[in-house]
Amino acid sequence: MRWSLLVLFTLATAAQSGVAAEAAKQDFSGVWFPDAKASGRWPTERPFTPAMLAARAQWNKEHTPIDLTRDDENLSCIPYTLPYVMTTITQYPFEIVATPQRIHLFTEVFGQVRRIDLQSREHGDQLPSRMGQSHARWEGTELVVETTRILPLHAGHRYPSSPAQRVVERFSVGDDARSGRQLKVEVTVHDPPVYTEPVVMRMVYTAAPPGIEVGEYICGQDLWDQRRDGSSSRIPWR
Amino acid sequence: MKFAGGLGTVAALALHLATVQVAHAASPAAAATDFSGTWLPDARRAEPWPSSLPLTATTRRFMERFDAAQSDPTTFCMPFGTPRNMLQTGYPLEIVQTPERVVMVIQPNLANAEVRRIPLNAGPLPESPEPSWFGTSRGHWEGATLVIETIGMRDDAILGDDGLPHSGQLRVVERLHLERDPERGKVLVDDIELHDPQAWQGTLKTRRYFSWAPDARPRDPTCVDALWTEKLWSERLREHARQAVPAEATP
Amino acid sequence: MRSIAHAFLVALACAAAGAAVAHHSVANFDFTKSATVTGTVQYFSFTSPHSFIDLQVREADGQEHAYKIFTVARVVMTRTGWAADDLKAGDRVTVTGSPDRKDPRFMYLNQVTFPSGKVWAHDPALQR
Repeated sequence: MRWSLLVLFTLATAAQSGVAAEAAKQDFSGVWFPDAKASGRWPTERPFTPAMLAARAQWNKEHTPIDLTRDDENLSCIPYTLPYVMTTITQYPFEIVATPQRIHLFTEVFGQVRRIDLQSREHGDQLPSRMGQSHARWEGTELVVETTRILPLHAGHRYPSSPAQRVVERFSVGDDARSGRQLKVEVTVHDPPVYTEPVVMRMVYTAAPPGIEVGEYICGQDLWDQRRDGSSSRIPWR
Repeated sequence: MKFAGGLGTVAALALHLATVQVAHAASPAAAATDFSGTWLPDARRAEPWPSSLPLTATTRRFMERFDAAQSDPTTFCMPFGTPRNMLQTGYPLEIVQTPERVVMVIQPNLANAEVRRIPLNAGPLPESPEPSWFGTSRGHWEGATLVIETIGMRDDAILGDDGLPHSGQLRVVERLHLERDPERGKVLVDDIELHDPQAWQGTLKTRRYFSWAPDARPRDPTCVDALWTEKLWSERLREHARQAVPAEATP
Repeated sequence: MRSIAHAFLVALACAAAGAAVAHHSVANFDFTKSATVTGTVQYFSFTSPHSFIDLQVREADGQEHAYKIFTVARVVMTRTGWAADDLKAGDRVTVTGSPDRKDPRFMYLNQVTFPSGKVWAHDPALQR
């Protein structure tokens, strides 16, 4: 009996280490472009709670109409917040640099940085931030990332969120016959004060060709360049 | 039976350890010198420039007329840029190191995180890279010292609050190594050399110290929010001024 | 290698099946309309978040008028084949784009032909 238990124990730990070795081979490093065709979208009818619907109706009553050609927060260089940074479809890539302790994700647009801890479990007492606090664990070959402490966005925002928001992402890499190397991220947004049920989106990214790096995109550089050039040409969207 | 059971436990343990070791060996081997982690610049040990720098006449004139409100890019939330992002002493420096590259991340309270990508052993620098805020770099190890050469930095960036400028010809050479300080623990030392014949004669040299600070975390920048708020407020004030009605005459 | 990368990025760019939420609203442009103008570059702002070209165009009335041609961020342009020296003040270029709903002399760039004969095109259905 004891021998069989020992054998089982040995096999179990060997299997676990084998899985860990397999998981360690999942390397998310690289420059990734959103695949607009293959990626999902936010549902057109989002499952807002009755309270959130009422709050949004009130906000619209008080603030609309808004001229988006003049009053757009991203145009004003206000950067993205999670989960939108992972669900937006643009021509701008991000770069993942993975080490055993941590995964860094560098976005091109707005030059933002996500840090996903692979080893530390402590949450600390950090204030809410746009990228929140992320911790990850392996589930087989998938990396499951949980993010909390995300800066909440008000009811009238395109993507409102509460302090209770929790975003769960499942990262995996693979090869697609047509597109080549692919990164898949299944994003689930849990936010009971905002949504009656979790919102799920499946995002797909394609590996950039060799030699393509995340570039310098400094929002607001147009104002600086004009000032430096001493140009009298007016920037039309400001 | 007990003895056999004991041997079995040892065998199981040995096998467990062996499989765990195999798993770890599958991950990239750590470099002999590892700069990875978060570092806080030590402002007290930042070597100031000598009082009299061998500046060219053009540089002198620029500095005499320098008005930060007009000519400091950071006033407009534009980056420090390289090498000002290494000379500054206000914000943490994070280093992510892999066998192929060193990535340095500085997150000041400006529009963007400043990400320096330094390929290691990647051949020579390109002849005339497109000017950028963070420059184009190449790195290589000389023993335990990381040597980084950077060119292609925008000439509208400056080197410090005093407005010390540089031209597009600037070449920066850094030599980074670790020290163990009895008081401060692990310390990263960056010896910085600046070459720019258009801006000064000879080489400007300085040193920066960074203390190991694994718990330091950058905060969300507020620079852009402040600019936007300022814009909204000034528009609102203009609107109020336009709508202002004369005081009603007392009956 | 560079041409393969360029082809990939253009293909990726064209694969967008309808824009999701725009980074910047371009609701002011009428993408059902298209116009082509030829003019002389007065000023070229090659930057982020958006580049633009100030163009002096002679219209049918024989008068010169100022046009503003709006396009994407510099990083996107250089990644999809725009070289730093392709365009400068003084160049004579032909531009095809979609006009603003209110001001037809404000256009969103779809395609430009440089003095060298080189053509750069960008699908306006893409994320801005």
